[in-house]
Formats: sequence, structure tokens, C-alpha cells
Amino acid sequence: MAFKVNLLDRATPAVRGRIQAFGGGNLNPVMGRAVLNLMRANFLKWNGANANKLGGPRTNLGAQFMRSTNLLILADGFVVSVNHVAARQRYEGGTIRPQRSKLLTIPAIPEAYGKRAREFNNLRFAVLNGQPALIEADATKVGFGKRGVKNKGSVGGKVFYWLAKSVTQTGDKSLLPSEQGMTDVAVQAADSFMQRQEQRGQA
Amino acid sequence: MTLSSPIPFRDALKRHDVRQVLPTNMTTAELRELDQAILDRSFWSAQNTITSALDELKSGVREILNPETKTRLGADGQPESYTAGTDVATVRLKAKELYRKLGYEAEQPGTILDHSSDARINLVVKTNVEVAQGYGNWRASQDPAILDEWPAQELIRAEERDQKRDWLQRFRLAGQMSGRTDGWTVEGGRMVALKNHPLWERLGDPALFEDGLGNPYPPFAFNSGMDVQDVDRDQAMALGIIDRDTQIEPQQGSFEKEAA
Repeated sequence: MAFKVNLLDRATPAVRGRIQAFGGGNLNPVMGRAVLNLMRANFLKWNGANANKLGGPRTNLGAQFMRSTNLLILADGFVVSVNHVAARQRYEGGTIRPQRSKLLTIPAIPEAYGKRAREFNNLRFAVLNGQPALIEADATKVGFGKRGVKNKGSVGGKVFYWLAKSVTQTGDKSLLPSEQGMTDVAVQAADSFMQRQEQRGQA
Repeated sequence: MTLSSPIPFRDALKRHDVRQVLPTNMTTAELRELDQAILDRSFWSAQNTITSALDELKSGVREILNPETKTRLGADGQPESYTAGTDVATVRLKAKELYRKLGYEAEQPGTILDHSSDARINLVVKTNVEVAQGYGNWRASQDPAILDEWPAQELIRAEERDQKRDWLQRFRLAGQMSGRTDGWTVEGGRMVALKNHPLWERLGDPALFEDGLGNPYPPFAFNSGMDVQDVDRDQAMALGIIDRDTQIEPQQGSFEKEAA
């Protein structure tokens, strides 16, 4: 996802006037970087607060979003982009439909999280209480000790994935800072930059 | 603020696209003996000579870096936009299927030496994605106005690890080996240095740290979980590593210098 930011619309007239008098375009890299930094910090904070729902090894999605965030400076503002396939869906929510197959696979256990169903070679299709699923195929489990077979049992039946034609998710607006928050950091950075130039006699 | 399609992460893509697939039977240690300029322009995985697999992985990394907005018909028959792209799991699956099709058999199945193992594929894909993104962020920060306002950066942990390297010790050593006593600090446990300080090259230097990736930008080492965040001039002045007026000179990436 990406969004074009023209923060000056949200700044006070006095600040807007000062920035425009300084030469607003020269400040776009500074204001843009301030917003980028705020977004990166927000993603990192979100990452710390949002582990995988099922537990298991972390995918660190927030950190992925952070690293994917980049900036394009324009003449009249800047665009901040989060180049990650899952970013917009997480932020806005909405309905997910399969891209490459007929059904979505929704992890049911920690071991399935972050993996594709086809990476397992022991899953079979089943319908449980009317819900299609991929479950562990029945098999004999054999353990070996020093003197041969130590234990013998069976495995199977554990649901790895539930299957669905679509899934509707609620968006998570905490993923991004507020527009006012972004305006504030951009204006603060612009102010700091302008003051320094003035102190150096370069304004 | 209007949400729209992502814009390409140009610098990250540039970093990735310049690499040519390099099938090799060399170990990581042997590859490290090569000139960094060669490694910068190569897409490699130690002791992987399977060109088609490397092509698949390189292409997968690019798709991760560059998701696109596309349109399709929704359930109601109306056009709807969606983000088309891929993720590590999908790239891993495609790579595994290719190795299976090629009849690849690992000498030590399931280990990091097994090119078709989760651990190995994850390492190759994540490292290449993160190096490209780390370069992109570094490159963008070379704007003179940005360097003026944020002349320094701090080494931070972005992802937790069960077993953490001692980054404070590494940072100190990198500072000592940088040849400069100024421009960096570990005050209060924070690891801060001026941007483009030689410390950052030392921090990623495989001659100093055998897991180093040879770049002055994150992730610095294999599977490190580390990143950087900007430190503004006021803070950097308070830490004593810069004054009000000193300017940091912008730099080019090593592979850009080659091209120039």
C-alpha cells in the first residue's frame, strides 16, 4: 500500500506560511523522512505487540513491514509506500480469496503457521462437522531404542488447516500512526531543519 | 492521505537486479575470499551449483520485494483491487518442488547444508530480501537534507532471537577497528554512530565477524534480526558525536562505484 501525503493541509496557517516562505519543496525530504521514521517505529512497536495468534515460531510481520517501507519525494509532497503483499489487507481488512487455488488454507496449529499446505506430504482432505480441512494422515509411529523397537503407536487426525472459499478480516488501524501524528513529526522536523539553517546563516 | 498502489522500492530492486546468478561449489568461507565487488553483483548460495534453483530463488526474492496492485472480478461480479505478490513460504514451496523435480538429494537431509531444507531456503530468501531493503533505506538516507537532520543512526533489535549475538561487543570492536575514536558511542547501552562512519563497514565485515555480510547496512550478519533507526542532530549532539555544523558526506553503494 502507499499513500501520498500532503501534510501541509493539516498544518496551522502560521506553520504553513513559514514552510512555504523557506521554500517548501526543499523540506519535502526532511518531512518525508520524519514520517517514514515514525511509520517504521510504529511497525516495530506493532511487531512487539502482535505475535502469531497460534504461537510457534514468529514470522515478525511488523518487522517485515518496517523493512518494506520506503519514500518517494515529489515536488508537492511525498509518497510513503509499504511494499509488502500483506500490508494493505492487514491495515484495511476485507475479504481474502485464493489467488492460485480454489480454497484458502487457514492454519489450525502452530506447526502449520508460516507454511504452505503442500510442504507437508502427510495431509489428507477431510470434512469435520461440515467444515473441510486438511488433517494428518493416519500412520504408525515407531520409536527405536538400543534393542530395537522401543515404542509403537499411531498418529493421525490432527487438523493442520481449515479450508475456506474466502475469509473476511477486520482491519487493524493501529498499524499506521494517526494522520495528526504524522503531521506533527513532519512539522517538527521541518522546524528543526529551518531553525538550524537560520542559525548557520544559510536561510 | 489517500491509500493507493505501492510504488516500487526502486533502490531495493536496483540492488537486487544487479546480481547475476552464480552457481558455485565454494563454501561460504571460500566465497568470502572473493572481492566484495564480485559478491555484490552475484546471487549465490554456498555450494549450490543448481542454476535453475538459484534462478527460482532470485525471482522469488524479486517478487517479495515488488508486490503490485491488480484488479480482478469480485464475488459480486464487480472489479476489485488486490495486492498480488508472494511471501517466503510460497517461494520456499516452489523451490522445494523444483528440487524434488530435479531429483536433488542432500547428503545431510533437513540440515542447513541441505539446499531444499526450510532452514536453508529461508536463510537465502530472507537474507537477500533484507539486504536489498537495507540498501534501499541506506541509499535513501544519503540525501543531503536527510543527512543534515539525521546525521547518525542507532543499531537496534528488530526481531527477537532465542540466541542473541553480543551486538554491544561487536559494535565496540567495529568502532575500535574503524580507525576513528570520534563519531560513535555506546553511552547508556545505546549503539550510535554517524552515518557513513567506517564503523558500519566494520560491523558487517566478514574479515572481522565470520557471519558478516559485507555491507555497511542491515542486516549486517546472517539472520541477525538487527536494523538501524535514525538519530536526529540534536540527540547526536547531546551524545557528543557531532556538532551543529558538521556535514556528513553522501556515499554511493560499492556496486554503484563499480558501474560508475
